[in-house]
Amino acid sequence: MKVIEIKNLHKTYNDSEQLVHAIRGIDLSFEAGEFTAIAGPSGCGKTTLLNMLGGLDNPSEGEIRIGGEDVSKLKSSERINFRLNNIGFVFQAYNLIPVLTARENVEFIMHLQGRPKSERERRTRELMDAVGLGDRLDSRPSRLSGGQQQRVAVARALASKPKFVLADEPTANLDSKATENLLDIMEKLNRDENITFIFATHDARVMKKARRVISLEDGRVLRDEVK
Amino acid sequence: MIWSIAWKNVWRNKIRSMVVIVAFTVGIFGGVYMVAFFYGMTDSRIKMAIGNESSHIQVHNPRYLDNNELKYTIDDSYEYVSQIEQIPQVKAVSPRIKILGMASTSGNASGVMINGIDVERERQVTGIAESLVRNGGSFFGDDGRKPMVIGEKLAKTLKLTYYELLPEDLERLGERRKYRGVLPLLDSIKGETYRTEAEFDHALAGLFGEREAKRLSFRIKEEAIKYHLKWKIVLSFQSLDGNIAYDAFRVVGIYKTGNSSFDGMNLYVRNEDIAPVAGLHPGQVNQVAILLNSVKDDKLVAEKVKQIRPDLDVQTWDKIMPEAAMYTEAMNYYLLIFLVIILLALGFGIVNTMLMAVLERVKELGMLMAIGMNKKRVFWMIMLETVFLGLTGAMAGTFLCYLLVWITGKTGVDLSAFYGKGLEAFGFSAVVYPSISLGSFFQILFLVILTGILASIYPARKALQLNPAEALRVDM
Repeated sequence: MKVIEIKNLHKTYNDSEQLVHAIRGIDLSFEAGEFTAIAGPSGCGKTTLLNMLGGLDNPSEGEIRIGGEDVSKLKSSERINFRLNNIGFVFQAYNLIPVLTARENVEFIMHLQGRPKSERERRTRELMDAVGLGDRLDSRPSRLSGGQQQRVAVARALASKPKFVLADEPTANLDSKATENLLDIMEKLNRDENITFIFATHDARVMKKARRVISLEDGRVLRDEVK
Repeated sequence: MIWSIAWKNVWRNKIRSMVVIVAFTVGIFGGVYMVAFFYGMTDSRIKMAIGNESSHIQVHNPRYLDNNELKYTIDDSYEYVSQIEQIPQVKAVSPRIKILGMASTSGNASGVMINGIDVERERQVTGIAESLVRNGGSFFGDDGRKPMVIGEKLAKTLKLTYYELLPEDLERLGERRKYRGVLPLLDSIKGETYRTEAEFDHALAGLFGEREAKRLSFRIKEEAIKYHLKWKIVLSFQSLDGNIAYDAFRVVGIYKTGNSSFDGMNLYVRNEDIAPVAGLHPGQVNQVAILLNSVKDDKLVAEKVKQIRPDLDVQTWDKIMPEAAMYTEAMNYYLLIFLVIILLALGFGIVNTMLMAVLERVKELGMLMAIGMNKKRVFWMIMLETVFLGLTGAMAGTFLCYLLVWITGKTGVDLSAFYGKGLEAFGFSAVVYPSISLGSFFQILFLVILTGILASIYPARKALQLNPAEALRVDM
């Protein structure tokens, strides 16, 4: 089953009065259950592509269909709702809400979805167990290590039951042990629960784990390998 | 959950938030206490004015009001008064003869309002009988022949006063810590008599030096002042037949209401003593003053009184003293103006703080919008933060203010050492009991919330303009 379909995607923007072609015609599709890395040197268009996949940015040309729906046609308010219910995000800098505990950070997104309290509590516990932080529910982000924060971020991304998870350089700020640990957890979730992960990364460790690696260069797909 | 996040966000930068909260606390406290203070001042002014001067309702011959001429009287007042006394809301009624005239002693003369009263009835209507000064005789207690009660200010004008410190005066002064230190100095002028205030002032200045004397003299003079009771005063005025009438009265009592211009003008004699001199028949008076059990019934009773004798003019207190009624109304506006100015200033402080809070959280807000927090919720969160910020300070300020109003409302704030004389000249008591209504507190709370909401609009809009993709890219 296709989760994402991209057809003839282009993105140009003005960067200090210079027209930049960040994406120059990309056609791709992603199946449910993929564990895929989008790789390439910085400036190759990874983040731009990821932002458009996540509905944070609009393509200049072409279309992006997520679950059959053309995301680029949605109004901005509809798009926020669409993101809330279909896409999970993991960011490079973890970006947890600092004033909330780990538990509250995970629960928050379900609160936005309007899920009942009992369900929120049950799912938070399950996810925090799954990322190995069942004993740190009431810690604030500042009391957690980088690796632990990123694991909370993964739990948060999954809390809304998204169709897929986008992770932008999730390991860039982590040491190798924490990276290993995080990747193992994500791989396990991918395998056991068929959760689709798409990474933008230039971390070799991530590419090694990924089952499909899409290499970009100058806004085009250079290689698309499935291991 | 958004409420709790907003509240927690307020405390992220504790120092910055505390600065705004303290500013709010001090601002609200200062503004509201000031207003409570003035409320208390006007409130007591009105109570005093009703109690001593105007009563709740006054009845006159309509033509008397034009020129206060003696000849425009209410006739057959005996029956009229007893009819009014039967109205259930009425507490007491006092018929008065009112004559503009001149009071003179060997020392001086002064224009006065001679009030010819029914002593027992007057006692129940006004507080004059309870306002006699110490050593100031009694309110027609031992009558003798043609007794008279005058205000302290008039007594001073007519040179019926002198200054002398007696041992018991020094004892009373010694009860105040401020004066304990100067007692030995004062002891040196014990028993000395000074004929005028200026002489006594001079003596005090000689004892302590000018500046110190100024600081202490108000209270010392209050203790030292003595009165020449039983002295004769000659009243002269135009009687009913157009001739100038004279008669001599003896001072038996000196009163002081706190409104020195009233005290300088009004003196009281018995109805039966003045009527024959003026040429009035028994029962002829110029004014009937009515005191009610509650000021709330003023309009209702005025209506009933009007029905008894429609030919007479009936006025309620707010018509008799429009300035007093105006104070109350003006205070409400002052409260509003004060608060709006204070809140405006504080509002800008909040805008500044919240702008900082939004701009340093660009990345976090971008993240929130990225994961699916819609604009309405982001706006709501920022607005709640702003309102919490203002409300916390306002609550603290209001609470502090309430506490201080409660305490000083009981003990009173004594301004006599600073400018008691000035206040009393305008009819305000030198001791102020601040007071403020619960309604005003709610009004303030409402205004604070409104300020918070208005102040939040700009920062919250700023937050909404963020593009989540760009906001996420910002390096912080």
